[in-house]
Amino acid sequence: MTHASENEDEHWLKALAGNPDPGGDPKINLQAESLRRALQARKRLLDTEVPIADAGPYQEILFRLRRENFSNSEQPDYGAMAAASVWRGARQYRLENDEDLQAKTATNRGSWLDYKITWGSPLLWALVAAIVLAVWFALT
Amino acid sequence: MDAGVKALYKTAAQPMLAFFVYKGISADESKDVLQETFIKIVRGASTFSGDGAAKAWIWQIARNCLIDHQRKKGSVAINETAVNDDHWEALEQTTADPNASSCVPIGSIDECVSAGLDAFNRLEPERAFVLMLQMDGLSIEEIGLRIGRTMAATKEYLSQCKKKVQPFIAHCTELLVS
Repeated sequence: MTHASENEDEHWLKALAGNPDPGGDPKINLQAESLRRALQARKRLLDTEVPIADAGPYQEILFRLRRENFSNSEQPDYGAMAAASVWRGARQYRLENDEDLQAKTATNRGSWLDYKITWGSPLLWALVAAIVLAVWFALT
Repeated sequence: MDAGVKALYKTAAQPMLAFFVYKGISADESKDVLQETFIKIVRGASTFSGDGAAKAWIWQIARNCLIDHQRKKGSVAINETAVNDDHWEALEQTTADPNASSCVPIGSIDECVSAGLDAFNRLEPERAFVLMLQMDGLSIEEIGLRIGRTMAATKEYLSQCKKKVQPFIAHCTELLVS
């Protein structure tokens, strides 16, 4: 590319961007400016189609990230904690009322809850679960 | 992580949505591609080597997601390499001929240029897109990010775009200037 054509390109591109050289070649300015108007009209038309990057698409992205396990690792999963608590309560209740099962699962015991919690009332567990879930909803 | 995603969304989401729509996909599809882009950015963040600018890496993901989407839809834009130099010579001879274009009634320079731009866009959507970015006042660097080229290559590409669009619009202003 020659120096002259480089200058011409630069001049044309500047005029296209809305900064024509007043002392430059009027033919170049005229062409670039008329193309600029055509491109502006085209852009105006396209811009009506462009969605706004508001909270909607953002929430969808966050939802998808959480669904794919990209959520904050530091934040405890209160929902999972509540579900685990209910499951453990139900398991404990069943264990205490079923001697056969008690024998079968004796070797599988290991969690803190299995050893320490010996409440036998399902009503009590339902109450605990309701409190945990209420805290979870309040926090999330 | 949420804070990082929020910060990125604030700066990059709107230009990306515009980029996708300008490249020919619908508003709804552009949201889907944006979502896919963000998922890939977060997924790939741990593997990002840090070589090169993060901005370039992010835009590369956006471009790839758009191409994937267009492939799935079977609507990949016309491959520019399909038009070789010989083909261009032939095109220039036909489209640059003022008599050839005079069969279309054109009321003003603006209408003539607009018709020329439409024809150019049908044949070379990528180049028309780049000219629009230049018209919009984006820096060479920003244009380069969107088309995946270095600054020097982007400058050269812009010069080529100017050359390629000339046959479509030159006849509109030639008579007036002379």
